[in-house]
Amino acid sequence: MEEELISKKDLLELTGISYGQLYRWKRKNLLPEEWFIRKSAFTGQETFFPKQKILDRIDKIVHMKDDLSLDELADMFSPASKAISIPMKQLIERNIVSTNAAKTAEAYIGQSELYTFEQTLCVYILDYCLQTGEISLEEGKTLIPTFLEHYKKFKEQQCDLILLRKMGVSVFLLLPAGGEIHFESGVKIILRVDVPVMIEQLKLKLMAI
Amino acid sequence: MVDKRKLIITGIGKSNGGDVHLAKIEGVGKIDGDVNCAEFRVDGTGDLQGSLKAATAAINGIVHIHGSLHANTFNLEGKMTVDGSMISEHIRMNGMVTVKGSCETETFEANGRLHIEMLNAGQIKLTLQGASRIEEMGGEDIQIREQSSKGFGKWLQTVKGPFSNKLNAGVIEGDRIYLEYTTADIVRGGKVTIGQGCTIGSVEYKQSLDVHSSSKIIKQAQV
Repeated sequence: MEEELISKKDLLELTGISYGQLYRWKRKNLLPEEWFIRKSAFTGQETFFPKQKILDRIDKIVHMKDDLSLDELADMFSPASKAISIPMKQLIERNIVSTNAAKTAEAYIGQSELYTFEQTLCVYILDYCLQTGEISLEEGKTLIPTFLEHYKKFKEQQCDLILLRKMGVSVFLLLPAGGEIHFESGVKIILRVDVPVMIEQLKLKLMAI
Repeated sequence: MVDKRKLIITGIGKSNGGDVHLAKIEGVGKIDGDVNCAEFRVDGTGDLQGSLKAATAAINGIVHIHGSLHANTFNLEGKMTVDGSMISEHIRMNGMVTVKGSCETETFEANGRLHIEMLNAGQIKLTLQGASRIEEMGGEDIQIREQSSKGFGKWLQTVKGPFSNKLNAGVIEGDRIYLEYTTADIVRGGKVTIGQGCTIGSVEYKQSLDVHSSSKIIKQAQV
């Protein structure tokens, strides 16, 4: 995946933030280390960023830093699971997940009253996938055990969830974020879910109580 | 930290590290693993094969940390080498320091000779004594000053050579920058003041640029 890059200088000009702010946000882990791409340019060393990702992130930080402290923001952007448990009822009531997704997930996660962050994330992703209309409820049922079983193995590392289909047979897989994959002909990538983005969205929704 | 255990080495000793309340070396100590503690103290020589996590760390003497270093407040008098990165809130150092990874902290106050790959701090106050090298430096306030030599050092200064106080840097970026006796490829910032004895390849500034007559700037641009 070739991403469009933006140089540090252009970024600061475009967003109107200062060097100090950029360095501070990096220190506070609001900007992940992987986004700092060092390249040699004719002026010497230059730092580049994935354009879309960094602009989105800076936009969020600028808009939310009045309401939240930098540490709270860092917590939101971090791919680490939060140590929380939420009653499923509340998730449905607050419209974070649909009743449909919750019902489907219940069979696999069990009817426990409280869901951990990871379980909630799983239901949230299922819901998102169903909303796109790209996957069937049947396929959704294989998503849950796949995700719950293997997501932990990535630990703090970021990952993508991918759905493949060939001749009507679907396959779910998890792989490190941004990784490149190639297939035999006839295989189609139906859906690629950026899990860190999902985490960010979910944390944001959970926070707005 | 509930753990009240202590790890104390007095004289010459060795330990495997672990989670403790206080970790202290008085004399010569070697620790073969990671140390996780509230307070870390060295008076003498310490060799830590793993990483250190501490609320406060105070070092008087010589320390080599093979892993990385996390300490909310960090004080050093002496010499230290960190092979990994160093993350802190407040750093005060006096002596010779090498950090092979990046160093991130809110305040950074150092006096001496530094070798750091990447320094990211809110406030940087660096007093040069000897030749320092910092590859990349960024922050809000950056002040680099030269320590005027005293005694024997002054006599050595008459011959400009490897003993002179200077900083060699790749990139320096900050909102407010003041430099003395610095050689850098690129300086970028809001308010930039270039004091005595600097040679800068290129300066990009936003608000203002002041340059001392003894300093040389090859290229400058207001952006």
